[in-house]
Amino acid sequence: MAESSIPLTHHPLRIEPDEAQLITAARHDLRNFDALYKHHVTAVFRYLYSRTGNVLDSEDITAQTFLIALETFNRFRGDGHFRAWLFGIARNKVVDLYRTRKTELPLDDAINTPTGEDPLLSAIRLEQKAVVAAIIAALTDEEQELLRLRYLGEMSYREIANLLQSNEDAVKKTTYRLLARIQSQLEDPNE
Amino acid sequence: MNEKLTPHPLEDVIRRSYDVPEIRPEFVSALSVDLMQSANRQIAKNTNKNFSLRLGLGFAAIALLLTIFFTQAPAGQALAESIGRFFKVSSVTEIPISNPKEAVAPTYAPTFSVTLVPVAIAPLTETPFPTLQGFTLASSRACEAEPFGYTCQLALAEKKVGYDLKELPEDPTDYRFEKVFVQGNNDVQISYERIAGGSYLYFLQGQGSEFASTGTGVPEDSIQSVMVGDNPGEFVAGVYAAAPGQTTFKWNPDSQYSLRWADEGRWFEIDVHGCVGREDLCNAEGLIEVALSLVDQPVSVEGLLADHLTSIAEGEQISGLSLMEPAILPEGFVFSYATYDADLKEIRLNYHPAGYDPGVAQISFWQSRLQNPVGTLNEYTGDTVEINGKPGKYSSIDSFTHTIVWQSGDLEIRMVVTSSKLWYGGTFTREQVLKIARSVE
Repeated sequence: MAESSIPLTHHPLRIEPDEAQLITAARHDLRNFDALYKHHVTAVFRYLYSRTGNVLDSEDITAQTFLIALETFNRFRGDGHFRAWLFGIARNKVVDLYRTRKTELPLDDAINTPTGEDPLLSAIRLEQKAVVAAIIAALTDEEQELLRLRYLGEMSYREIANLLQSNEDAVKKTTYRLLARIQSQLEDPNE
Repeated sequence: MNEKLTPHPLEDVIRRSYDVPEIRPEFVSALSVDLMQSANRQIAKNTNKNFSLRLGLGFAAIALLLTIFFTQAPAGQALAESIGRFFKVSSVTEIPISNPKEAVAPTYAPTFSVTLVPVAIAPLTETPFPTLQGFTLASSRACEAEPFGYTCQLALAEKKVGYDLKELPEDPTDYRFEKVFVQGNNDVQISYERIAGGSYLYFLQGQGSEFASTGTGVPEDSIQSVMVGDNPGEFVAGVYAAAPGQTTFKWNPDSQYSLRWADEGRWFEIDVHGCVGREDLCNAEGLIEVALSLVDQPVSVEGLLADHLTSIAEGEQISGLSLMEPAILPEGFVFSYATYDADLKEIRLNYHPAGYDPGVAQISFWQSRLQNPVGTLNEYTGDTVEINGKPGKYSSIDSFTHTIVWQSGDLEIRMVVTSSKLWYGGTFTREQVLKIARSVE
């Protein structure tokens, strides 16, 4: 093994650990998995909520996802796609839920009114949200999934490509096209 | 994410259109506890699985050659065993090795060049630990302050098994608490490891008369009947072991020492693997003495332990020195512990690769107040080198052992790098050793 090309720096003792460090720490001691968990739990929950539309189901699957991830962590290859690996588990658990209930879970259409906001602005926002929700609901399953992974799962194009076994450029282009289409439909609802 | 999400109004509207509620903090905390418990179970499981791998370096001369037969008989083999009083009795003198892969022979670790990285991972061990219901205030505070410390882990184990555990009054001399495992049937194992590595002590206990099934039967003539206070017990020295190339495990009457006894519906077992520096623990009398010292509540240790300082801050407190630390270490190395020699007024900081016995590889920094700024270095042999503008002396036996001495401010610092070719395999170059030394600030 050659010496690392990592630059040798001074006073690095209190730097914020990045994901690679979190993974390394968890490999050294599985109890450090907690830091990885805290790093990803919100994104996983948000993604799952967008799939189930139900807090309890989302929490349940979030818990299952992380427990499975911890139990199988030694199988994670550490190739820099931890989030993709994690979301792979989450997606499988959602499929399990669908299969168990034998029902299509609707996108939650309840829209809450933001508090403490100008009523007119709030109404505009609400309407805009409702329109966007309707546009998204009309997209294909694959397109909806892409948006969920990108904007709720906070995944990079590379991570999405890794998860969907696709090409990073293709994912990026598809997303841009989707955004353009949504923008266009927002501007001209009759399109 | 590799690229930042561009702040774009449409993307923001898309995000908000899902109306995802905030994740509940109490859910995050509760799942964190579940994960921690699951991690502990995994570690316990793996440790039990790896039990036989934890050969004490104290019998390295033997362990060099031996594979220990530890747990269950290999598949398909029916060992002729009978239930003895405390130990299972084996009537065989040799156990065939049916699957060599099941027997892990200690061999030379693959040699590799260590990789230097900035020190950065250590703070992660300070994982916050939630206060648990049903705990005493003292236990809760202990868990907040030191979640993987003895007091918290014992409290967790007692809460789980539902009975008051017997405990050693304090960490055995030269040893430090390692972990607590709760196994099936609510059996509990408290593990200690020798601070400097090489030996282990396990204290096991459970309710009823079923001893935890660690280990196979032992030859009848290896069992020594003893008294543990008023209670009968049994002591066994030895373990089935095989040298590389051998096709059978043979009984080896040392390397491992076990005492079992029962008292008031509870069973107890103390195992010692390796005897580095504590030969007194490797006979019946020594283990009986430990057994008789068991208490319901351990001695509360106040103040700092000079032979086991757990942080740089403790080292500074006890020595009064403003200590210097390396900013660069080999990948995987972490601060292990520090010791203070009051006679020499010298502190020693130790770093070792995480996940390894501390004895397999170590970088130690001795630091003391500089007594003779002019002549000290002349006491050492080696090549003259430069460390941050100051002269130093460097010497090396081979790529596994290096020493360097230099002065910094009002301190004299000695850095010693040792790496076991057998157990670790990491090699250091002269330049790497100098880089580590120059990073000490």
